[in-house]
Amino acid sequence: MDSPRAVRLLLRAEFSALLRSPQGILGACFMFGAAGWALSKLAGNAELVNRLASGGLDPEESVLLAVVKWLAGGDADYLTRLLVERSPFISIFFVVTAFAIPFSAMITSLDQNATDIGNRGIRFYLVRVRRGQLFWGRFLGNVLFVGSTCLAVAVAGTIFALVLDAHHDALEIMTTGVWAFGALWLAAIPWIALMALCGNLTGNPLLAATLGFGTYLGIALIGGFGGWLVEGLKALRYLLPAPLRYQLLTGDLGGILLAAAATLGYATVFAWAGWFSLRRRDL
Amino acid sequence: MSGAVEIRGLRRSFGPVQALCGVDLDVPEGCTFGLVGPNGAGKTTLFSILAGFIRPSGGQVRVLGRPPDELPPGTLAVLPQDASFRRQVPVRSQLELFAKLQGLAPEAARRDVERVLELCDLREIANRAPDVLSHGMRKRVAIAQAFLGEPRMVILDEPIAGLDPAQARRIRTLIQAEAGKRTFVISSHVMADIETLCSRVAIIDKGRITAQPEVADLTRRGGVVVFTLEAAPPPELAAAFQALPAVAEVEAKSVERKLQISVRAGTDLDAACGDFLRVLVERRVAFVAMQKGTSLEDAVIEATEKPAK
Repeated sequence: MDSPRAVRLLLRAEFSALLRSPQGILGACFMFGAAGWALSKLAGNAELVNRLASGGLDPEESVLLAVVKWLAGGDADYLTRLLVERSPFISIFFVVTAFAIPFSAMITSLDQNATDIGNRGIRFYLVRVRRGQLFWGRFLGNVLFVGSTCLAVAVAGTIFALVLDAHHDALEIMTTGVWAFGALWLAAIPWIALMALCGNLTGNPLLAATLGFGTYLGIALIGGFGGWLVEGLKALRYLLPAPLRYQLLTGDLGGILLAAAATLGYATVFAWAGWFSLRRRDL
Repeated sequence: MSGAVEIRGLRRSFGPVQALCGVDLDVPEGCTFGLVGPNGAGKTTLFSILAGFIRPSGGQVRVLGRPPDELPPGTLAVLPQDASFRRQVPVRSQLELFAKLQGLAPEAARRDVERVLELCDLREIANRAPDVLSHGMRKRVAIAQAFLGEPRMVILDEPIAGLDPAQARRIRTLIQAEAGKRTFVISSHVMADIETLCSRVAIIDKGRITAQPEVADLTRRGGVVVFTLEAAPPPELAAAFQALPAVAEVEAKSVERKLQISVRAGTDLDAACGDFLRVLVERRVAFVAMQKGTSLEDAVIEATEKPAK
């Protein structure tokens, strides 16, 4: 059969399977949980956030904003651009949900092929489609599912901002909302590709999860805490795309494009490695 | 007749273990072919290579004239051993996806799924998820997927194992009805099934094909008659048969209550059978069954144990 049709069929089947699978539900719930927490905090601190948008509050003076600064990093200029020039409701919401995105994306996509490799169910597919079609169909199904989760979250955040933000007009808020959605989705793709690779290498969803989360948390710990002790260790954080996600929403255009290109680069490398491992291994 | 399977010098090792060591095999297109041998002989490895699940370490493999991983989707169907379906997705949805992936349009896929559900008596459970089905039902679903569309060749790894007698008969009948329309390659430990379904067999042992005879030749249907008796054969019975001019050799198996009679070359076996029956009636020896040729089971055991002796 022609390749695009096979990929499309597998994509649709994967999306549908995720809707009723534990990992699909859990991954979406994790994202919705983070979004819900952010929205509840924003609703409770609407006055403070509005003062921030009006320029009446130094971003570094508030505890809430200190959390945002800790998550997103960046200097005062970055925070001003993030929280004053754009709707701070969406920006804060984006920073919290972006923090959750690697976890949510990895949980959702931890079993693209792993169980099927382990229990040999993949053999039912191999006489019907090429290995590449199977890999890309399922990978894109996961990308679409996580994208839908991001869309739902971004829509909720935008609606909240429209109601609560007193200093930005609707068009500005909606534009930022669309941007935030795109940034969240893009930030999720390398993690989905990473889990495709882990699943294809291990052939077991639990091992894939252990490998994926272990790699993420290991690098975060070594690059983060180790970086306090030895400056050079900070560079280790760039083995994974985690530090890039906050740069996707704001900054100068060159910086955003660079972050987007680098994020896609990570996704391409992980996805290619995942596809290669599925193509070469015994099934 | 062109070859459905052509294998030359096929080798496959798993670390230090040589699963296949220099297999040569030819399966004519359109025939129902059996692959038999003891556990660990290399049957599943060979099937996995034919289906493109694993790659050979060396040698050449062509299935329907192409390397396995270059076969057009849907031309080869496989019943893999111990493969599981996606747990939460209903049987009908999974079969419809498989049919569509074979290139069928949505409506045609739906019709074809209904056809195979009916063939394998699965209509009632079609909307259930595989994880709530019994082992036998899941096995039938796996068989059903192998009959979707119009594959030119079907590989069935232990198709009857785990089925109850009624379902086993149903699947046997299904394979017999489809035989001739496409090539079947079947592996089974139940030699009676292979004997019923296949016209040719390959015997594989320790990673090598030791023989590829016609089933009729292997079981010597033209030269041996086996009687299954109600009781162990009396001692003088073998001598009585041996006295007949057509008889070359008589083997009495007391525990199995069998009498195996080999006839001389050129003997009219049907005429000789009349004489054999007469001997039994005259000596009032009751028999349960008379069979031309040895059982395939005996023939395969003999063939696989011979090199070890």
